[in-house]
Amino acid sequence: LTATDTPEIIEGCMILQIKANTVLYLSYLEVARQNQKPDKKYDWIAGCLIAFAYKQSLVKADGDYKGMLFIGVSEADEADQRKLMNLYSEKYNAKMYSDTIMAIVDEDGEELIKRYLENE
Amino acid sequence: MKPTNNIPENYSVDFAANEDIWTDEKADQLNAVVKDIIRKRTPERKIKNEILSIGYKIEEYLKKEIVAENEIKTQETFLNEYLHALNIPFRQFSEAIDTSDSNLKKYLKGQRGFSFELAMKFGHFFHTSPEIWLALGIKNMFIMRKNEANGYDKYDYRKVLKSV
Repeated sequence: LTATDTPEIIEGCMILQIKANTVLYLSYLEVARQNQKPDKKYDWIAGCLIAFAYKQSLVKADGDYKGMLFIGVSEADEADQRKLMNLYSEKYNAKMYSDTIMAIVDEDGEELIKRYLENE
Repeated sequence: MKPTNNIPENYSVDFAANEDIWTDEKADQLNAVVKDIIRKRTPERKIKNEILSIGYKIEEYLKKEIVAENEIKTQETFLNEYLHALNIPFRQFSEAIDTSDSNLKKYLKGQRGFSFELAMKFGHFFHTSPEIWLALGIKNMFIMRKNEANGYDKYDYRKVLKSV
């Protein structure tokens, strides 16, 4: 993710994969250092990336698999893992489906698109 | 496992950092979750997802800078996708927007110009912006007629200024 006027500066990035030829899986997401607290340059980087990833689930997946984004959460420290899962849950409407995988489904993802991608 | 927004207090994980957490075992586990999500989804939600999907595909197509002639997607292409997703026959759709199927075909085949009025009807019917239906026609016209661009080089304000 880059800003329009500074395409050479990466503001955030992610790895989005299609798993088992069916579902969209966000395996990695990172917000650039300049956009992290306390002196962040841009807000909403993670939100924009996650909303875009969910949007891709509607575009790339087939049939009934549209509208599901799975997110892998893998932190080295257990407390960090819980903290990150709570963040995804509270801020990005993700629900926990296994010990390391969360998902954003249907209305929850649609709301993210409205909040982060259409609210310009 | 039931989906939850509450991360349990006693939650713990057994994995190595940076390990690929999408294992075969995990895939099997999630296969059941995926099936459950699909089973619980209402017909209305399924339709909504299809409608959103086609709308976003049109958006992506319009944003694409380079489109080869054999990759062109017309208004008719996307209309058919919508009608297929909604299971609405072409004739029923044409009647619903106060026209006949033969008349609508003429607009879609380019025998008549795709009008503002038609774009408004398509936009309202499929819950898209009306502009995208006109934008599709304009984009495709420029792709199909790109070879004609050279003939217009003589129209340049600098040539007029030089002659003043």
